[in-house]
Amino acid sequence: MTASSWHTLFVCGTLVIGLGTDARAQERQQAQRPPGIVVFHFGPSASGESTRACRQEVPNSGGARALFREYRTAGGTALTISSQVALRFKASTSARQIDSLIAATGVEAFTSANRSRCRRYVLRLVRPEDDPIAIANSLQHSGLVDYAVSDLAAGQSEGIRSDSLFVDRLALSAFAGNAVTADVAPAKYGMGQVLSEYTGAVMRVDGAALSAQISGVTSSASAVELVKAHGITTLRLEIPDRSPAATVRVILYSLNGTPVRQLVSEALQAGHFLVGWDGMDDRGRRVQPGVYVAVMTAGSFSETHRLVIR
Amino acid sequence: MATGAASAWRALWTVPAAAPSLRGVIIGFEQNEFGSVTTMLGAARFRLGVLWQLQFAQAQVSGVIDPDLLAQYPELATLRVMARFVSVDGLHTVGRTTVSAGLRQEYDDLLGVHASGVAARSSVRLRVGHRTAIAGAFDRAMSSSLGTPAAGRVQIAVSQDVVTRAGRLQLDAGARLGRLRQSEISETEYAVGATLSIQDIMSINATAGSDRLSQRPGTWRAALGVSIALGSVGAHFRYGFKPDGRGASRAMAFTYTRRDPATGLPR
Repeated sequence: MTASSWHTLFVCGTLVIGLGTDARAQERQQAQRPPGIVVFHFGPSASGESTRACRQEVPNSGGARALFREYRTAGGTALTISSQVALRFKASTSARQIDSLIAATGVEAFTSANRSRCRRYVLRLVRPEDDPIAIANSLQHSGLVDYAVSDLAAGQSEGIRSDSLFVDRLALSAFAGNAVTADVAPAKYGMGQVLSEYTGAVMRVDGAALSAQISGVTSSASAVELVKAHGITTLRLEIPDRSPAATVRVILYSLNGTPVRQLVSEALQAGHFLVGWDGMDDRGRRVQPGVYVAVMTAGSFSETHRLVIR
Repeated sequence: MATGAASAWRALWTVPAAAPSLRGVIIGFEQNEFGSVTTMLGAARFRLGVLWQLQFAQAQVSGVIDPDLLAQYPELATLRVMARFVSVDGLHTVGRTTVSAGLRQEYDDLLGVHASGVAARSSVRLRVGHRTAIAGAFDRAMSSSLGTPAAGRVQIAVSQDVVTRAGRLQLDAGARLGRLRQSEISETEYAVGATLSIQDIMSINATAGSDRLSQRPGTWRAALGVSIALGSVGAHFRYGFKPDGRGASRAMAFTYTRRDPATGLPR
């Protein structure tokens, strides 16, 4: 890399995640194929401060550049980049929210300290059937990004060229580890709380990442910190393989049983999902801080958990 | 609505002026199954110049954090959800009108985040006819660190009771229409109820009603209560439920109600 390119390409690191996209019937055959691996890559930023902060986190990016040219699974299979999505997280999006989005979608291989200052990423999709438009829409609906576009040339100049992307060794090893882990559909319906700041719409996630819990919550003390700061606003949904797929509903009620918000009402395909609550009721008004009851129903299944809004 | 000591004591929690002459003590316990809310409450009314009312209530929500999260992060078990309410009100009756004024202090612990606030409140009850009353309660936050303090809350209710006696049996039937306004939220409530009493020994009270929050569809609810009285001492049991299965509650209370020496009726 030349000195001049450092000025134009403030690359600070790479994240590797697995991101499931919209539900498809073919997902039942997913175990035989690599999962939908996506590379989150910091792009250059227009903000000098955040750019410098990001750049400082990349001590060895030059040596890693060559590795990016070709992705290989642990089994040695070469993967081709099929499409990409550019996104920029909002300034208000916290590191924890980025953490939770990333953890919700797969393996991560970067520290939250880096991510807290980096806003721009490129997702590179390696599974041809993954729809970059659907992924971009999903990210847009999460409310955490300023934009998410599937076409890098669509007026959102990231200044990204093919030789400006990097992957570090740590990210690559995590990528390889994830590539051999297939997401198995749950055996039964289920719902539970997730410690996360994710407050977006229902989103398919990698079950392995969920079982590992959300990154950033590394201890009992940090779990308490997160709950004190953010409450409990995220639920995981487990949808088994049923035919026909039942309509899944998640409705929030006040403690006295008054309906407040319908979070989910759709026929979800088998898999793991995350859904968050932004603290608004069905009419878009912020609810009072407190405890609310989430009721998930699907066919004859019904389960209840609590959410806490600050 | 639907007269009786238990109903009168219940009404005091929203409108202190609702029972102008009721005196005594209540200690109660209520459990809401849907929300896992356990509430303990107590109140005392006594005359010291004017009529005074002291109230205390504490509610706790259990099972807020999933067991699997608690297993993974044991320190989460130290967090709790609790709310406490203490109030003092003075009441005075002139003719058909009863007014009250008082202060309410609230304390809230929402998973480790503490908040408190003080509100001034007043209420007025005007007896229009023999069995018709109009009541209103007005709250105003004075200081609060609660999440979204209500700058003002207004509740107005109209109630009508009918009493029929046949020997030792007495049937009280009543209807109530209430309207609550708090910030952007409004709640309209309709309720009807009846109490069948066997001359102050036992009474069975049944109520049904609907409440509608803002522009949402109405939600029906119903309650069945049984009271047993031995002189001035009463035990009260109440089961409330909603047809859709959400909001069922069980309540139990013990009261000491001071009676008029001349009539033997609660006063």
